Amino acid sequence: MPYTIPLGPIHPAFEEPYKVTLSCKGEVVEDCQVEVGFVMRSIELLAQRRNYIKDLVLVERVCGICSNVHASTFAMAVEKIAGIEVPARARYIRTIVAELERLHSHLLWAGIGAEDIGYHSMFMEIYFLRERVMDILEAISGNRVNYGMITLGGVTRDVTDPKSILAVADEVHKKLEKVVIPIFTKDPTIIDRTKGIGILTKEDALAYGTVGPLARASGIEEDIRESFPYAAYADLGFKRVTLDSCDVMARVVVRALEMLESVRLIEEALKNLPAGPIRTGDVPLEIPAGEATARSEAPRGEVFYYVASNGTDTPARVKIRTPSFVNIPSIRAMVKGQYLADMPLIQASIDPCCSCTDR
Amino acid sequence: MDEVLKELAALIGQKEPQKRVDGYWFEATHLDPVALAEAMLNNQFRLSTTSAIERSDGETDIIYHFVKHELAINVRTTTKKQKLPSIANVLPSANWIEREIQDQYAVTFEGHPDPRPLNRPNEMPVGFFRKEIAEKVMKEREAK
Repeated sequence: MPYTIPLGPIHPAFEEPYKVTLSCKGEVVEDCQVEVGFVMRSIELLAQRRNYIKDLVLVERVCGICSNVHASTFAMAVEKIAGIEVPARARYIRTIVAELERLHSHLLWAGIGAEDIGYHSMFMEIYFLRERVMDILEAISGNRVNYGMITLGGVTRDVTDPKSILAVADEVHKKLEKVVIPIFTKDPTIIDRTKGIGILTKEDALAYGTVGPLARASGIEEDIRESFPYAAYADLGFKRVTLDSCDVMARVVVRALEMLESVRLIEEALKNLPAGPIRTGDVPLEIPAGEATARSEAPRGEVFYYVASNGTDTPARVKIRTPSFVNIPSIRAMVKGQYLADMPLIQASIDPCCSCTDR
Repeated sequence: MDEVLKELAALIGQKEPQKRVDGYWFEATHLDPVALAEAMLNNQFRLSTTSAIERSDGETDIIYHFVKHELAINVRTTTKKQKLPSIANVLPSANWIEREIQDQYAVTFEGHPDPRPLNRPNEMPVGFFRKEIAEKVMKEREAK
C-alpha cells in the first residue's frame, strides 16, 4: 500500500516555500505532486501600472538572488522596441555584473548542496569565497542584493577601479581552482552521494522545457550566451559546459565548471573594458508602440521577457518567465524510483527559486 | 531551419512569417495548437513560455514562444469564447503556464490533464489580471 509524505510548504532543504507531496512504497518514491504559489506578488500586473523606469526597480525584485538579470532582460526587451543602442562600455559592465551574479548564485547553491550532502566544512569554505564575490558586487554597485545597475540604454554606475576588482577576482579564481572544483569533481564523498541519482533524461528535459545547468547536465546544448549572444558575450567569446550523464553529479559538475568560465569572462571584460559613455543620453520616457521578446541566461537558465508597449510611458503587458518556472515541474520526472533519503538533494540539484516561480 | 518554417506556414495557413530582431512571428486566426505542439516537439523545439494578452473584446491573445538555439518562433492566436485546446498532454512544459493563464485571464484550456489553480491566492477571483476584475479588487481593498 503506497503512502504519501508531504514535504513543505515550509521545506526541509530550502528557505523558500513550496510543497512536494511524495507517494512512496517503502523507501522508494513512486510519484510526486509539486505545488507552488505561496509567495505570489503579481509583479507582472504591478509592472503594467508603473512607468518603465519604476518597472526596472520592480522587476529587479522578482528574485533575491538573480535580481540583475531581470532588470537587464526587461531593459533588453524595451531597448528592442524603442531601437535604443547600448554603448560598448555599458555592455561590458552589464556582462561583468551578470557573471558576478552567476558566480555568487552558483556558490550559494554549492554551499547549500554541500550542506545537504552533510559536508559542513565545504559549506564554510564556499560561503567564505562567496563573501569575496559579494564584496566585488558591493564595490561596483554599492549594494549586495538588488544592485540597481541597469537603466534603459546603459548602466547607472561606472566601474572606476578595474585593477582592485581584478585582484579580488584573481583570488576567487585561484580558490575555485584549488578547492571548489577538485572537491566537487573528484571527492569520493560528493561522488558517492550524487552519482546516478535523480536522472532526468534528455527527452524529458526537452519535453519539460528545462533550461540552464539542469538542461546542460542532461545533454541539451543550449546556453543563450552562446546561441543568441547579448551584452558583450559575442566579443569576449564563450565556452559552454555540457554533460550527458543526466544525474545530480552532472548538475554539480556543470555548475562548478561554469564558475570558472564566469571568472574568466569577468577578468577578460575588466581587462578589455572599452572607453566611452556608460549610457545613451536620448532615452524617451514614452516608448513607441510595439512588442518584443528578450532572452538571457540567468544563473538558473533562460529568463524570458515579453513586453508590449502601447506608446505611453507604461507597458501594456509584461510577461516574465523565470527559469525555475520550467525547471521545478521536472522534479516529477526525476524522483520516480528514487530513495526518500535522496529527495532533498535531488530537489536541491535543480536550484529551485520559488520567489521567481510565483512572481 | 527553412523547412521548419515551411512546415509551420503550411500548418498555420500563413505564407511568410514576419521576421523581426527577436525571431519569426506567425499570426494564426485558425490554429490547431495540438498539431503545432507536436510539430515543434518533433523538430526539437522547446516551449519557452506562453504569453496571454487581454483584448478589448473580452477574448485573450495567446502567444506561444518556441525556441531552439538562436531561433525563436512566436505564434499568436486568439481564444474563442475564452477557450483554446490544451497542449499540455503533448508538452508537459505547457502544463503550468496554461494553469497560470487560466488563473490570471480566465481562459479555459480544454483537455488540460490537471486544471487546478497554480498560483492564484484563494481570495482572488479567477481572471484577476483582467483590467475590470483587477480594478474591482483594488477598489474593494482600498475601501477596507
